[in-house]
Amino acid sequence: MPTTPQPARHLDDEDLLTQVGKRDQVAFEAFYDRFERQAFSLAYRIIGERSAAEDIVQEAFLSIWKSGERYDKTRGSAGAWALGIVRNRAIDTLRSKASRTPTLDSDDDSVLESRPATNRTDEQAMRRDVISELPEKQSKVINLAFFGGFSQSEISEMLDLPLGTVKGRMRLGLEKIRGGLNEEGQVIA
Amino acid sequence: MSTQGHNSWKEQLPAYLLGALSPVEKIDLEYHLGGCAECQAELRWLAPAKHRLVEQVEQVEPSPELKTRLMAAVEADLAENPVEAVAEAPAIAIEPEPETAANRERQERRPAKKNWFDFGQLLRPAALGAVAAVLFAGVIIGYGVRGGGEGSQAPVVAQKVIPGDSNVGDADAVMVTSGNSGTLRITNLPKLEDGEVYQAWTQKGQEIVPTDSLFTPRRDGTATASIPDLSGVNTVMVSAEPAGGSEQPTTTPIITIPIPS
Repeated sequence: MPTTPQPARHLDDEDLLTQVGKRDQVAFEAFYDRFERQAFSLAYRIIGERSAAEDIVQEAFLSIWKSGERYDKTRGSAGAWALGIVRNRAIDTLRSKASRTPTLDSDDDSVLESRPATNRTDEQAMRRDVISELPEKQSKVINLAFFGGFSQSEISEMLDLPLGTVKGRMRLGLEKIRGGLNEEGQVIA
Repeated sequence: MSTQGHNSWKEQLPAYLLGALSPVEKIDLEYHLGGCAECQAELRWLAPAKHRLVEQVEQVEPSPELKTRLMAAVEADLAENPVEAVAEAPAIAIEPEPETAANRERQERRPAKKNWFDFGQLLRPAALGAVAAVLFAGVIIGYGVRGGGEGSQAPVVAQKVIPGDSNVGDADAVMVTSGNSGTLRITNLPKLEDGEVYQAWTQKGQEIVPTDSLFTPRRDGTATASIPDLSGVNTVMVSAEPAGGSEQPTTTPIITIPIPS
């Protein structure tokens, strides 16, 4: 018995991705439309170049198209999964572009300038950015890790801080962001 | 496990969320997570903070060409690796993108009539070649590649492209068939009145049979719709119908595609 078609926009992200796994082009387009802007913005934030960011988003979504059936609902939302793929590809691109890891004995500023994501001067953007509301010590390690692609050990070395201090700052920063959200992850008014 | 040992795993969770563990640290932690309900709960609680980081990134609009390139690549992939069979009616009907300021702006920036069917606009030569092959070869043989590369014994799937006739404006349609199923691809569809949808029909002999393919065109006038069963069908038609569809066409079909037996 045929099923009644459902408009794509009435399906949740997870169901859309299930359809993408069946190579449903319409579902894929709807899924892309939902996350296009967030995905591009994230890639652009990390890589700092429009054309490179577009290549990253294209590669990431093609990978989603070809591997949608591998999405596992139990491991998080479809959006988080998709944006995680975008982030990972952007970080991979960033690392492949870097000729080497930034000099570990250089000062903070030169380290921070070594990756575009951590070299933002747009004050308006920074005001909107949740990490800018954190104490600078915490925002710096989170910025370097999430948008710069550095490991906690690399951050420890480049900032000349004990590894435990870096871990502690990451935890405090994330807990502070988490504290501003309710159980569903929405911002508490 | 000692409390001290357990705490050392918990300390790794923020870096894990931020993607700041080394590959070895990551694998070790994931192994631990598999058997530690407490760390799993901690990770679930902390995860929305990472999502918030993503949400708060300054929003930047990509160029419209990004979507064009992406969908062309998807079309090319479908042409190279066609869906072998559609066992049931489409789960999804086409609807236009939601009416948002961003979408309106994007549409306005798009050159007129440039869509996934405007193959001359495809930017990637490989995609152009693959999709053009579907359109112009009439019949192509796609080699299933799921089983491997050269020399594999993957099943051969025949795909036919059948041109259709239209009696409105510059609407155009083709039917791409694969086995007993097909996909309608239509361009330049007229806008519908409020409360209307397009409905696809199949004609078997003299009998006109409704399908579950109800759809509305995208803002650029394009639409696709699946016809899951073409067995015994000699014509596929499209007409404008009241929302929810009809049992028999209530308006003259605007698209007619003869299906060769």
